[in-house]
Amino acid sequence: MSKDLNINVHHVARVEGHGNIVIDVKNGELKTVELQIVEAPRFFEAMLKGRRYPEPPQITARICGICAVGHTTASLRGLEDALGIEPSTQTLLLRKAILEAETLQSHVLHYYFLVAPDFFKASSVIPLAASHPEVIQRALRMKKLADDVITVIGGRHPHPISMVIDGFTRIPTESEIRGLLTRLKESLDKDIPPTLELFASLKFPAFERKTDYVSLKHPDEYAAYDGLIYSSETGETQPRDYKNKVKEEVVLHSSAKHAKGPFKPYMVGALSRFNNNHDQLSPAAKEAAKKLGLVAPCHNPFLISAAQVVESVHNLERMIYYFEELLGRGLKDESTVRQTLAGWSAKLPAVKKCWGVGAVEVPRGILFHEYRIDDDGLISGANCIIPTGQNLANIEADMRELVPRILDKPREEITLLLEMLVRAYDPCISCSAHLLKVDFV
Amino acid sequence: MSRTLVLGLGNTLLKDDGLGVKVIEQLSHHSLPAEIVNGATLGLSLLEILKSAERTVVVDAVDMGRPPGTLVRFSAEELLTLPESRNFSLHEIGLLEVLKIGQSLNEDFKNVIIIGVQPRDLTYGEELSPEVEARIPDVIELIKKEVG
Repeated sequence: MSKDLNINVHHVARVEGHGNIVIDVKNGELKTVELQIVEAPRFFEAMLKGRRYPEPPQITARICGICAVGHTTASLRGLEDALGIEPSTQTLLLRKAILEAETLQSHVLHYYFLVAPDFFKASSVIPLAASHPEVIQRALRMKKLADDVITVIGGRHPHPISMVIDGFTRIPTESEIRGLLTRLKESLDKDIPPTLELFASLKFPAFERKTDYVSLKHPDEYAAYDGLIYSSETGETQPRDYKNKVKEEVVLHSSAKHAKGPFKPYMVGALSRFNNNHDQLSPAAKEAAKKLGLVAPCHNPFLISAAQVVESVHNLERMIYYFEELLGRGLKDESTVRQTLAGWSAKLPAVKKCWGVGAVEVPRGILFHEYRIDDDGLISGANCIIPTGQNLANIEADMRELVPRILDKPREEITLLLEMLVRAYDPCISCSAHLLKVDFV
Repeated sequence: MSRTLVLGLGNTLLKDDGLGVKVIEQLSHHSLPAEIVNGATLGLSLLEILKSAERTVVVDAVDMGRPPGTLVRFSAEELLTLPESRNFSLHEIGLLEVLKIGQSLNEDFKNVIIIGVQPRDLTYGEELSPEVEARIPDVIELIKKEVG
């Protein structure tokens, strides 16, 4: 078929930050497929150089207002790997719980506020709130619960303040944990069934392209806090060898670096985790996958949103498990036996030149933080590889395969499908200014 | 129970966007009959905070296209007459979008007022422009009048 098509979506709506979709087809032949990232790069890595070694968690938390706990955790794990510190069981349980909470709030925001409007033919969540208030009330209630877990454990939402090297500056009280536990169980009973019903009723676009699914993998649990890097195509990689799997590449049309595997683009995020680790999901999450008809291996990127719904159920059940563990053990102030190290600590133990890597599953996929610390205790090098950067090449590969299959559809429909595809990946292109823009007349 | 909030918004890494948070930090040294809340870059979570209070004074950088440092006071109801941004996302979800969602859910924001200052510079950096910094005492005076 010979057809000309030129699509240029300036600033895709309902994604985090500024990205453009550019498609150019001449005589039925695909000339250009680009997801342009037009946002200014932010150079956090350069900002970290010369800082005292416990400072990165609080600084890198600011990379993102949605994944702040994820950045803090990856940063702490990278530094602890470098320093040879192994945190206590209590610290691990608290960190794992807060990480589940962050994934839950991010997923809820994505599938209810950014994805759902497409299926209700609403331009954004604002008209959707008017037409389906009960849906949005439920989403807000779920988000508030996850936010409250982050506030109780992290001391502040969205940017946690109590998470530091080798522990927490404040341990939650048992009554705080008990209160959250009751609400988590309620949410599992009351919010999850209608959520599953709603998302099971949506008809996601049918499109399959098999790719390399990359996530962490852990022998004992659905990997989130730690594990080996696992690729469905190339197998396992140690976190410290992450550069063998992830190569950052600068492309002309994007101010965000593209990360590609050694052979081809790969996908990170909820669907990769589901494909690689589905047999380790919590019982109710496995049921949820059945209800949504999500079966591994799934090669339809539009179903990332369905995998997020499944993971939300898992998030709730895991938090319940971690909180019951913590209450069973009794929460203890560990400051007499362990010295926590924060960016604001006056005196720091001397260190020898070292380096380390933290790899953590955050809502949108694997996040890597690598640090080099010098003999003077100052950061001499840092590298942060963000999930969205890893997905960009894969999104373009999807678009390259999707466009020829839908060329006979009307232009508006092609554009909408491409926007929905980009949105499905939940790309987080940046955190931007939150100021008000007001034109007073 | 009557609860009054002073809520500072903004990103302290984007120069003048950090105004709301800087004001909040200074207010913690004053004794006010109100709860001081650092809303920073919270988006949708602001809705729950606004709902929890009887009365809220929001402090934020407001781009009105006026000379830098211009101080304004307006109500949430006035703000709600403006159209929301097309590029809706959750990072960029601003106060206006939060209020619009709340309005759709039949929340009432009669008792929310906004004190704003026109920024000059929103590039990376932790310091405020001199024109904006110089306005902080006026902002604090205005807040005291509002909650006093």
